[in-house]
Amino acid sequence: MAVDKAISLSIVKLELEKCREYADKYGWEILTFDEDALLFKVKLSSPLNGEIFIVSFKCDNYREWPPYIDFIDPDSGQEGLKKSYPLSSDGFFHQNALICHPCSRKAYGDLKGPHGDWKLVDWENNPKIGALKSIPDIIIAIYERISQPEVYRGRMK
Amino acid sequence: MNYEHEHDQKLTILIESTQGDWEATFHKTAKISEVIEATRQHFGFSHEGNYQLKLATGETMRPERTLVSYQLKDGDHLTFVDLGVAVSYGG
Repeated sequence: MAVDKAISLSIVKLELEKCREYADKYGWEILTFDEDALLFKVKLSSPLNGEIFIVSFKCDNYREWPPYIDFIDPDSGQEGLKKSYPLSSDGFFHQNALICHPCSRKAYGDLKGPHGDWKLVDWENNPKIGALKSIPDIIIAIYERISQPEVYRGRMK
Repeated sequence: MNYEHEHDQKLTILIESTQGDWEATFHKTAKISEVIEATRQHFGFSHEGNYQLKLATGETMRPERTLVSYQLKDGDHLTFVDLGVAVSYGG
């Protein structure tokens, strides 16, 4: 059952408030928040090499569904290009230009993602979800992955 | 072992997470991996995370090391984060 848009909006606003605390600490920039589309973008910079990554979060039907997360080309503004994604030492950032984790709607088979074995509505109870059950936690995970030399491998080619 | 000696062997630290803060006491020789696991359980996170503890300097603490090896003192703050497990499917 779809979540009332006003409910999703209030949750996203609360979580974005939390994000702003971390934004000050880590230098994130929340670029836009389209309340009607429940869509916002955040700009992250790798402290290791200064690479800029822009991440979009579409939060319709949140929290019944996880956010639809994608990366945006900082030059063209195009969404979903492989070269817009970071590369890490593991497969969290998937070569098909998606985050391969239950927190990412794009990874689900329902949206032609690789994980037909996951259920969108049960995303928060997926055993692999860990702590990534909220927008601040997801952004922290992405930021840590572009900040730690043991993990970060630059930009995808 | 008297109380004072026992107290000397313990360390009370504040672990910060997005879910709130947790003041907890550990043996000084507790491994970071043990502190991570206790924190995971405290906040009720699932087993399968890529959990880390970070010092106030931003340094990631190594799981095999002990609390005392980082020369922490009572009241120090650590940050708990999850980098997310990689569940890549043919990627």
